[in-house]
Amino acid sequence: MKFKYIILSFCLSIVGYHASAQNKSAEIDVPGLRAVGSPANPKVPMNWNRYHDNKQIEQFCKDLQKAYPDLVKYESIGKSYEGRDIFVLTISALKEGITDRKPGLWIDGNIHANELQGSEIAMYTAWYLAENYHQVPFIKELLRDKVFYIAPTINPDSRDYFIYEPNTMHSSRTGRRPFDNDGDGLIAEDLYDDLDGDGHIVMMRRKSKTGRYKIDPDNPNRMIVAKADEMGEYEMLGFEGIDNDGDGLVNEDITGTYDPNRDWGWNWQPNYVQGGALYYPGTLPETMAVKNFFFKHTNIAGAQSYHNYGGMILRGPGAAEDERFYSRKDVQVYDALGKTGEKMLPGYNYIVIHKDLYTVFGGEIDFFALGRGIYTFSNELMTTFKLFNNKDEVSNRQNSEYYEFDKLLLFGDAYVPWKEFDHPQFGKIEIGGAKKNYTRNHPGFLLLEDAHRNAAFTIYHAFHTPKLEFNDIEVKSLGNNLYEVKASVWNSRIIPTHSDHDVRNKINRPNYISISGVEVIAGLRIINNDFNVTEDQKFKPERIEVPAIDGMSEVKVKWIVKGNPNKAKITVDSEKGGVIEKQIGS
Amino acid sequence: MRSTFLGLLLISPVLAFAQLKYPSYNEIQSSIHTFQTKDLASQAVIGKSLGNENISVIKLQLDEKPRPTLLIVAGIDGKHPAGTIGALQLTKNLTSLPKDSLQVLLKDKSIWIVPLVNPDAYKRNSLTNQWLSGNSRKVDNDRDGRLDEDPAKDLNGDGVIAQMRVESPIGNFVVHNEYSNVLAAVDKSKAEKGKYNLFSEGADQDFDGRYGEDGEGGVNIDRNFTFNYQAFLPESGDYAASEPETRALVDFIFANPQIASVLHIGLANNLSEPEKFDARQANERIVKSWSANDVEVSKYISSIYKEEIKSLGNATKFGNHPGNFSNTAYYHLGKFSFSTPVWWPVVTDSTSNVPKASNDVDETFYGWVKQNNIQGAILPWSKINHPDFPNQEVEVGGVVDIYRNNPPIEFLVSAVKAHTSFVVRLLENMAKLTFAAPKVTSLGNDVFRVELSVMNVGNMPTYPEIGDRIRFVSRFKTVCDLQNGQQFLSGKRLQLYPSLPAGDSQTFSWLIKGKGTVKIQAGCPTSGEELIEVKL
Repeated sequence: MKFKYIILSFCLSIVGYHASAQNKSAEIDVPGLRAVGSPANPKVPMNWNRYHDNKQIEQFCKDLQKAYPDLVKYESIGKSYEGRDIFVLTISALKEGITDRKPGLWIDGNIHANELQGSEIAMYTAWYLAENYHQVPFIKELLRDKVFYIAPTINPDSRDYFIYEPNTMHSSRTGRRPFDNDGDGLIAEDLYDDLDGDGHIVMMRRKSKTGRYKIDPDNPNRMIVAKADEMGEYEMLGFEGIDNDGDGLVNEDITGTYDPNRDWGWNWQPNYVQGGALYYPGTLPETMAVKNFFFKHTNIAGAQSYHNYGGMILRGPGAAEDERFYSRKDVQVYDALGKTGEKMLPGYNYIVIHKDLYTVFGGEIDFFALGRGIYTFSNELMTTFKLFNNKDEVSNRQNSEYYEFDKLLLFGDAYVPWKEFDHPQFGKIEIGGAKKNYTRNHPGFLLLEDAHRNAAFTIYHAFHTPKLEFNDIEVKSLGNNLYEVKASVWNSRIIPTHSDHDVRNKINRPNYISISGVEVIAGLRIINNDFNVTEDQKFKPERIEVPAIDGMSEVKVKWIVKGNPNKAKITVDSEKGGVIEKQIGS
Repeated sequence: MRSTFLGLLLISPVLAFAQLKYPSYNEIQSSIHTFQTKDLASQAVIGKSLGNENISVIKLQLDEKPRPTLLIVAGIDGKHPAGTIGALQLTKNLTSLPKDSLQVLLKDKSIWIVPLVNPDAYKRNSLTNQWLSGNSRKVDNDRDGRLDEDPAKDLNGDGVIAQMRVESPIGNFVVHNEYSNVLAAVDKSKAEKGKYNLFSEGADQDFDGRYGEDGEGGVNIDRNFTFNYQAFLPESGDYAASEPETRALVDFIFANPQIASVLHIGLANNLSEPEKFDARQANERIVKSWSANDVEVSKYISSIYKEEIKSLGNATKFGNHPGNFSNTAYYHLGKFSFSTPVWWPVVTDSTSNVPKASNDVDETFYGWVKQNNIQGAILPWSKINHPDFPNQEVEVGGVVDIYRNNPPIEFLVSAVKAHTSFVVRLLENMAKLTFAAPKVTSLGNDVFRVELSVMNVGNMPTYPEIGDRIRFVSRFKTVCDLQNGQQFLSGKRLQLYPSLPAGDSQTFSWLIKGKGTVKIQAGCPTSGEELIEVKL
């Protein structure tokens, strides 16, 4: 019996050795095949030039977890209104340390469901980290220290609806909970209609003497406004549809006209102040699931929420009156990260939501940043800069670059050419225009590049969440069997353990620096080491409370203890900075 | 288990509860249940508290058909058990009206009562005799990262958390010149010197210089509503509407668009002094004043209130705390929102037996305690040894705060009676629509003009003006359904209109081609809807 067991385990260990040797070589690319920065032979082959529906996203989560069980775990954090799972991928060296105590970075995408690419960029980040773990020492170290929580879509219902049902590039920003939008007691009774059955909802135009539009002579797909003294040829009739409910309005009751990004618990305002709001923050199960995840994961120190479009690295606040919550010190942290982001993301500008975009009440960014004290960015993906790698002077909506880009690089795939149609209410009209995946969502070949650049920015963001290290531990005998133990702790990254806003409002508990294994007489925070300025902590002196350990800064504490503290243990326990410990004399 | 529990109760009788003679939590629940079977009354559950207790509504209505409804809400703040008891007594008063007069009252309108929005608080408070506002959520009130590490402490073992005075040459309080067990603040502007510092009974168990600042007692639901919600205040919750009780009430009101007015029996009062109009605040993006027309309604209802409560003296006034229910009910839910504390202390003139006018709520309270010899409301001082003040004289006693707004149960009877009359009058004043017979003019060739007029003959608008701005408030609407072969030459099937003020009328008209019967539905849930058939 015993003998058999030894043989068996010997065999197993050989097999195991063989397998791991094989793994090792499989994990390292042949240098000549590896395009630097990208895996040549990924375990989970992906095509990053396309979009994915919920089923494909789930399959990706499964595959990545299966390929890298020590690095990837995925779970459902709740159900959407229609009962779909909201998946979160946890990416970290799961076997090293306690995952949920490492400083965390949250990434979500697709809160506005028509803004597809946030999901792909979030997925790419998870994939990139796992596939390069064995090849890039920086990533290995990063995943030892940090954890990424990645939610590819926090609006899964509407994602599939956008992909498979009649929508324009702007519709399906909302979720799928039905509300009566026009007050007639009926719900969603006047949707878009794919009149010509070509699978695209595009624009309707009608020849008209009084119309103010004409065809761009340089590009037949494009409608331009006639000059002030010039007669137009066409009137524009909006997106493809008919008056389904006979109330004289077309497409006036499409599904869900609310905004999931106005459903968050910071400076929430009702619909008449902030369009898109519902009953109260957290009316939607999707936003509640994320909120609950944040309350359970107080280690999240940074967050990114992807939107489109315009090429922006946004930070809060959403409303001018909340400017008072952004101290100079906190802004400096944002600036340090955001300005590096501008360099990493050509064409993207680092700006403030309420100042440079528009006012948002009850937005997700504010909930993370102000409600939970987390350094948060929201990147508005895709910009016209990417079309020809230069900044056009004309605003996004007016410029012709999209048409030229389509002609020169997409060979007409982005537009439905105008064609005639007999409309039951409008009579003879023409239907044509940009497909729903053009203008806001990336064209395929640009998606991979922007995925990598944005992923790199979130990796930079994660890298700069706090990293705590002991600088020094000093023990000094005071005679009479009394000793002084001094510990200094250093945060070697940009982001502090607590933002200034957090410290002022006590959002998260303080950091604890504690000593165990020795009797403590007194515990003190050292305010100035050179002149012996200290603060005596009366309550639990063995566990000193430190409000924040700033970026690139050090804090010092000391204890007066009875007996030789050799072998006593010092622990730093920080919600957003992680846990480190050291034994005296080791 | 049960016997141990009862045993514990016997060993430490819940003193103040006994002195107030308030029902236990179970008695409250069974009292709510008694309405399940009564005539014209029914009972339902609108949601669960965080502690999984039922939040119930009692419905007084003729039948299930939705009618314009007055919603009475109580027991939001755990420090107001009198509100819950008052609301139940009021319900009883209404159901005890002669059957025919109740029938008349409920002919066009319904009254719904949610007597206890925060059952967790009542349940816990009635067992522990600590009067705390919040639900059963564990919260870190002083935001120091530790939960409930510094609860109030019954230092002298009398079963009550009262006040604690510490003798000090630089104190801010002196003994009240009339009431020896009450301390009064010194007048700093006259450089008066005090003799005592005054604290709530407790110890500084976490050495932060505060006494009993972080005990049990969850989120105060009346700080957790959405209007003017302020983050990071004690007991306000992690974010607006974070609590299931808050959500249950808001969801319930949105799900029942026929609720026209809300009366909050709680630690709030906008009836003894009506709402004031502030043009600037009414016109800002974030609206913070009732509209001019809505303020007129507030004034009118306030005048009725004052008539009805005359015998009770001046009602206690309360500030508008951030995140309270009453303001949210108007600004975010679009309802006429009124609030009353239902009971307040009053000192009566011993000869004429009428209330003495006084604006000092503290003095009135002390006087009421003395005049009525209220046991347990103001305690004599007793000396204790306090570890935080080893060299100072420390005494426990003074005012037991809960009595300020919650009297022994017998005092509620007259207060509830007056409020019952007020509720009846409020109901009678709500909007009432009358439709004139439709006017049909034949223009020849089967073309007809149909005109329909409606008047609001009640004394309140169909709903407050703010309701027209709130997306989920059902607006005044007409739906004109044609028969096959008929068509509109002018007008539409569905049209929305703004709130119809009291004493105002509106005429709707359609130009219709084709003979047959036209069905017009007009009105809104808060004032009633009518279906009118017109033969063309």
